[in-house]
Amino acid sequence: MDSKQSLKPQWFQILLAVADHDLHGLGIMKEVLEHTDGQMRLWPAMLYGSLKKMVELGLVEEREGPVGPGAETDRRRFYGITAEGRASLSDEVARLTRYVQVAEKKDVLRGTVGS
Amino acid sequence: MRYPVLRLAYRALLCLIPRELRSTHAKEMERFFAETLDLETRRRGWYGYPFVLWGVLVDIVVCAVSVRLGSRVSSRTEVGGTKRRDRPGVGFLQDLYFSIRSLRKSLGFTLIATLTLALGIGSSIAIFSVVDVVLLRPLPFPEPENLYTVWETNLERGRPQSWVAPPTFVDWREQATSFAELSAISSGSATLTGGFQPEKISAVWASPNVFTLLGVRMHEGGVFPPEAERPGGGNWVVVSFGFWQRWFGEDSDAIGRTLTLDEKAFTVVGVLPRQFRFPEEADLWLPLTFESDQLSEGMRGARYLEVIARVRPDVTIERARAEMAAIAEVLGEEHSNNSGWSVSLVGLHENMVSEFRRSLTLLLLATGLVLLIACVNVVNLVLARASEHRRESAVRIALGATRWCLLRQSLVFHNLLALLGGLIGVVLASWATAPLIRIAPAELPRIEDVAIDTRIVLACLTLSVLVGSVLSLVSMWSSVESDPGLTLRSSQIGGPPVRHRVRRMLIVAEVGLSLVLLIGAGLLTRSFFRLQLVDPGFSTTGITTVSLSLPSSRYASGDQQTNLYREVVERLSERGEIQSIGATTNLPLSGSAMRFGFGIDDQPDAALNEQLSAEYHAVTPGYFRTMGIAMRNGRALDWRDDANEGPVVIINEAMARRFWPNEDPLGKRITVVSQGGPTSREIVGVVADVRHAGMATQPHIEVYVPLSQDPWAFVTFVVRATETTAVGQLFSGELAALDAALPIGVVLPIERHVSRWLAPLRFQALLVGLFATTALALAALGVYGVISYLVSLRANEIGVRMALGADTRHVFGSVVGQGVWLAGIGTLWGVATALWFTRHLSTLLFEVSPTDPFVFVSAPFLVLSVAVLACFLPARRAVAVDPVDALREV
Repeated sequence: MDSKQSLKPQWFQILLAVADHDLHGLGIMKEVLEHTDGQMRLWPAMLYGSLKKMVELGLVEEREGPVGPGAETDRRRFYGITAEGRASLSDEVARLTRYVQVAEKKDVLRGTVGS
Repeated sequence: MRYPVLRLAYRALLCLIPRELRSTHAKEMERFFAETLDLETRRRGWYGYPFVLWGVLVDIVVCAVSVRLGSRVSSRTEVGGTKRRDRPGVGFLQDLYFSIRSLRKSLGFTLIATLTLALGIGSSIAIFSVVDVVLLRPLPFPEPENLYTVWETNLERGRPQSWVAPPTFVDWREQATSFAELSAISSGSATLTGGFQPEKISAVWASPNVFTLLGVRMHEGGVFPPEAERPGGGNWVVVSFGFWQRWFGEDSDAIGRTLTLDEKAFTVVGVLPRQFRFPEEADLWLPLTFESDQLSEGMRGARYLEVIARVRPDVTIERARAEMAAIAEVLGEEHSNNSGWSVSLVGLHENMVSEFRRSLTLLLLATGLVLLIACVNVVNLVLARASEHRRESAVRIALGATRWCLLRQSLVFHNLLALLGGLIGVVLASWATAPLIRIAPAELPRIEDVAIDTRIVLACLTLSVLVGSVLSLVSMWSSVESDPGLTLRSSQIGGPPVRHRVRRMLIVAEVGLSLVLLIGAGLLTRSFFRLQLVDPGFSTTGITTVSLSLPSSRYASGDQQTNLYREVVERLSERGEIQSIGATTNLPLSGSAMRFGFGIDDQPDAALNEQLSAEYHAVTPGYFRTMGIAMRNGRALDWRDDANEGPVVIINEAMARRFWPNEDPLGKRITVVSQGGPTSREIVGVVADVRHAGMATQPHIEVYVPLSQDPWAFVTFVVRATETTAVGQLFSGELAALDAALPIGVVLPIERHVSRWLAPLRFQALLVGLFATTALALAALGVYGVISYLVSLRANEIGVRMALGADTRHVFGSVVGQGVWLAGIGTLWGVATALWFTRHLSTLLFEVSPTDPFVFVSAPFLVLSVAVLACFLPARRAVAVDPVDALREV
């Protein structure tokens, strides 16, 4: 993945969701919904389409889910972040942070964060 | 596995996404879909379904289009733009264009199909919007599921839900730990002075914590102050939004101002929000507290408070019920008036809507049937159209079109058709809302909130897409053969016989369904007319009723009250326009009733082995004459029957029959309990039975005592005048001459009381009747369509027969017979279904059996007659076939 190129918003949110723990599809959807205050809802085709592409690009990988009762018949795909995914994510965060710093310098945030 | 049908539909939709994704992730996505449905329906109620269905639909379409577009762009760059054009997603616009052209080309088909669908979808949506607001939408309070109504209950005495006595309420409040708040409510009215003339305003007395319990945020000001909790803790009032607009002109300075109510000054502390409507639309809310005399042992029998509770979030309802049952048991041991009484908790919302649940579910079912019949009709049309297109489809497949291409086009075409129908349906439903609210009974909770909003529109579009998808599958099944070559070689018109059989079966189903609806409507209408024929025991025309209540400050004694009533009656009787006048404490059909215990003086209670109670009325002379209640025996009341004379009573026939079946009750004595305690009274007359509680309720045992011997501070005057419209003015004029500060109450013709009582029944009978008529018309259209089609298929055969000398009458009969045969099977099926279904109607019927022979004979007769009429036109066309033309085409 070209580190200069910005991540698609839903890819960024997916990477952010799996950054600290492995999650299955519904878990990712719930976490993204929560992070974005309900602004971004990932529907199945978009989510799994993105995940498939991200696996191909090596940003995330499929992992073994936790083993529990009924796990044999009820196995879900869990996804975890790869080293490359983490690098892309931190590049993206750094890029966004730079924008925030510029905005702070220009005093754009006044009035929107209650200051 | 939950949602099997929706999962299946979702799996079918997944065919649209690229195979690579589908093959590896389909199972996971399906599971994701089901879990999202679970999550969203828990969060949003029924609206979760359209929300998720639309979400996944858009998701899949976007995925399909973007992937295909992506691959198209990349393949163009790779192979120089030689990509085939009929890729799914890309061809969508082309399909849309083609579909619009086809719809315009077959305008007749489009018009009939969309209007039929619009009728079905529109009526379903209109009724669903009512059901949504009344039954499904939670109450507009925070955590409404924790709100309950608390009843005292005594099954032995046949009182499953009784209001609560003040001392019992106070005990509950002190002892129960399961509730965050517990409030008592009592409705009434107050006289407001300070305007042009005194006004009677609807008021509710409620425990001061009621707004905290409900979680209401005031529009202006706040809730009652803490000192309002104790008796004598000040006079406070919370006003409704409407009252605030009217009286204070939306002035925010209203808080802190005073209102003079029943000649006492009350300080306004808050204004309720605009949409606050609980329990009814009262204008004033006053704090309810209890003086010590209201908490005496004797008051434990005076059950008149409505009690509501908010169960603590950490307490289960079972625990709350168990605690209340234990408290009731202890109270029953300590106080004789509580003995035998327990407690029941019913959800506040359920309590408000339970009486309408059955009737609204019935209406929803009726519209569901209309929608089903409409769909069957359109399926029939689609089948006819598809069989015309069989050859076209076969040619296209032979020329290389994939089945997917045909399915896609069919999906676009039929969904467009259904969406068009759905949109017209939404328009029809929004037109229907206003008349629907007008004819709906006013008691239907929150009925004025009914509107076609975005959620309803979304639900309607979802329904349309479902219908459209079913139609396209039917059409595909009917028009695409497994071997297109066979279709091209075959000369058979209209497809193989199996499809004709399906169309016949659809007709049978349609006739059956419409018959079920017709029988249901017939039973309800018959019951409605039966009720109108019931003799209520009083005259239901030409009487005007005027309510009046006297403020306790100036009319404290019974003598003062009696004198005023007597003067009003006497002054008005002298007016030439007034033919007769009287007054009563409880007007029939008004919903007000008093019930008191009584004993028969020479028959001890023990001998009767039961506690006796009777409907109690205090009336003035002239009441029976004005109301047209017949005197059966003895004399009417007289103004001389006052406090100085011996106490007298008039009983009704039901009571005379019960206790003195073979002797004259006149001169016997009964002891009647009332506000002044037990009084022994002499029976001086017997009057005809009156159905006070409604036409469908058998008359109870009733006693009438002279108002001058037992005066009450509230009465309703009944006036018969030559000019009924002038009564209100006449009455207020005479009343003002006697006491200018007394407000006149509600003036209503008696017809209004009757029609208000009949309103829910009329609403139900009218709508079910309307839906049944629509269903019958749709079924007739269906029969006509199929028989015409079958005639067109048989044109050659008929031509040959006629050429060989067949009789015209014979041909005519065979066509009609074919239709009648189908309708006959449908009728049999419909009657069988109706026999099963109408059992559930029995509680809605009055003096009509759920298997009423008249309805069960006349409805099938009507359906068969309509079917014969529907076959008539195609039959005439059949006999008009020219044998030569027909033979030439063979």
